[in-house]
Amino acid sequence: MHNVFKVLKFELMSILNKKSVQVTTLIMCVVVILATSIPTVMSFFDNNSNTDNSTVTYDDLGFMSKSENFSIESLTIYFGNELNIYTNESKLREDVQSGVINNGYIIEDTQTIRSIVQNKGMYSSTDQMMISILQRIQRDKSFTELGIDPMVVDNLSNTPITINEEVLGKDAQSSFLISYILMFAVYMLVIMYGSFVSTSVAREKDNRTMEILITSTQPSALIVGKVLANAIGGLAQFSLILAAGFIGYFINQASYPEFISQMLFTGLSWDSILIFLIFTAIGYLLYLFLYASLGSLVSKVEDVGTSVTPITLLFMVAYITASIGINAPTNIFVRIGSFVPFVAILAMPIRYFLTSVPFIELLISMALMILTSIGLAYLSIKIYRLGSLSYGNKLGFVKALKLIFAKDNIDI
Amino acid sequence: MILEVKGINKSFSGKQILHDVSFTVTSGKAMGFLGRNGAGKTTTIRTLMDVFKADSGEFILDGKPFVPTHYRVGYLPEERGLYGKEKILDQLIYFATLRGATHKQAKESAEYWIERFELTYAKNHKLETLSKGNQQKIQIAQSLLNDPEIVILDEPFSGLDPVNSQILKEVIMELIQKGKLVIFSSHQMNYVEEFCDEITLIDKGKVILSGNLKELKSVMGQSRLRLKANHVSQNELIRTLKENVNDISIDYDKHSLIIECLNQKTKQDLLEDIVRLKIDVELFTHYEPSLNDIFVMKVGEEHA
Repeated sequence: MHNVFKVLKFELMSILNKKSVQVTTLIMCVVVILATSIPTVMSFFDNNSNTDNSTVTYDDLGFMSKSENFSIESLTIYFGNELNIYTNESKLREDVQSGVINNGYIIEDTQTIRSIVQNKGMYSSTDQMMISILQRIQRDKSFTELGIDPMVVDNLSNTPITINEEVLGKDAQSSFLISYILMFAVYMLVIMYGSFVSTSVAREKDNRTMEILITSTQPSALIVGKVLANAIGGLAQFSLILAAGFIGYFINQASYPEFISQMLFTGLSWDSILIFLIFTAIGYLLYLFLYASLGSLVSKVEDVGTSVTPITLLFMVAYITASIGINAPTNIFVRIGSFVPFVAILAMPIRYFLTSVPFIELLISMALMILTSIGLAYLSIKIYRLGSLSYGNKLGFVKALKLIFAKDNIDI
Repeated sequence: MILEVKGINKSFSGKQILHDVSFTVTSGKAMGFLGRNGAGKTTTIRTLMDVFKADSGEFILDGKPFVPTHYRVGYLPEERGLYGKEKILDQLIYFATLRGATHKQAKESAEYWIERFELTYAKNHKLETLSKGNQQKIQIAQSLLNDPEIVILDEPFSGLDPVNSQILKEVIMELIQKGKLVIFSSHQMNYVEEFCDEITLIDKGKVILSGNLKELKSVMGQSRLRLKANHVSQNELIRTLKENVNDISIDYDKHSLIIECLNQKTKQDLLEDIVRLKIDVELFTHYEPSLNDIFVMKVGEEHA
């Protein structure tokens, strides 16, 4: 056991001293801080355009009425007094073409408008605006003819209704965003640092240090020490990046819309943070031992990529299950998934965030994950030791299992 | 300490590599484990170091089963390898602490061997920045950390230049003087002969000779004599002897003829023959085979 710490220390120092690790961490922290500053940057530009927009004019629009029933002056209520009113269609067309105005509207009759533009952009809100204004003018006119005050109708149809919600369990809406962010964070954590572990395990076979190591100490100390070192290294780097995210968020908090802050933090309670941390920690180790097992199968670092592909697929299943869980946390598929150790890492915290989960279910899922982790740790140590017997060859996973269980002549 | 290797058998995927390998090593005497490439030297050493399990047989140290991790064992594997991207001092300290040294002891030991191999200037360099020969020295240093009681070196001389080979020879002699149990394998006989007390010859997974080198030399040279004559070429001398002397077999090397007396013919009988033939003797002495001769002779016999 003592040697686990020696291996851990050596491996951890070797990770932390790597220039590539230091530089990547720095770059990622800077990128995250910049990304969290985007709303501030945006609001800076927004403010500029707002000052321009403070005196909104519609002087780029031109209007002309061909209908006797429609007085063009009635538009002044909506567009202000300085309307570009045309009486001649060809003059209007000319002005559109020469760019004096962007858009000309010719009211043919009370139900038809002709819109004349030089170039049509993707989005134009003025057409829609014209339609609703004309509808409203027609509506008001009809009401008046019937002897009804349109204002009274407006007041009646806009009676304010208040809804006072009382959520007894969990509010899925308020936890949605934070669930998504955390799920993505765990995904990155496992995928990124998992491959670090398998590379680190394969490294010793690749550089032939393994024979010295296994004759110096127990393989269990080597594997457990390595996995823990990479786990800690990964968490440290990840925490720094997360911290950068939080710092960026708090610096720029004023620029974030109110609802984002609410969505981020109202869904978080201490117990859900605790559950998230526990499941992430156990699940993270579980996956790292799985990565260690598959990393032990190869004897060259460049073979690691192909060897660990099945894990990436497995983790995708977990990710998809959890994504379903975000939208439908009570889905039976998600409920089953929250007990499957490889899926529970994401599925159980998501369920806990969004719905109420009985305590016993949490315990069962946790116990299953811990047992699986121990099993995988044992397996990775056996495969690692077995690796010394088959230098140079890539060992199939099934073949390795057969060898391990066929003859129990490998000491751990 | 006495290490007994008893009846080791080992097969890989149905092919038997080691056949009843047995020999004995005593501390304070260097044991040279010799054989051609692929003879089974490394496999024997790996089973001894518990890298592989032997199919049958046992390793006994002072009457008890030998478990490498229970002793301070220095081991230089045949497949050299250390961390290329780690600093030399750091990784040597790491290996020493893994074998039970405190950090202080580990540092002292690592620094001692780095200095001994004249690499102090590079102790904080990454291993991969060193030349191959210097990396080899660090690998040997690795096996000498922590003042090991037992030192097992698999082909320690391969890749070393003559100067570094000399340093290593001195180190091995020092280990022997300190009473360590030293085993090293080699296929380069000339290196071994100078300081080896005991040898074990292995060929095709079988031990074909094992024992004290001096005794072996005298036994194998017992009925043989060197003969060289003045004013006569080797070929002429061989012809003269073949035509006139019975019960001898004649061989030669670049120095002289090597004559073996057969069928109870004594050295005295041969001398009388030489006098009778009036050969102008330049050299007439007992023959002591070199290790290389023994090796060639023994391996030849096995293949005959």
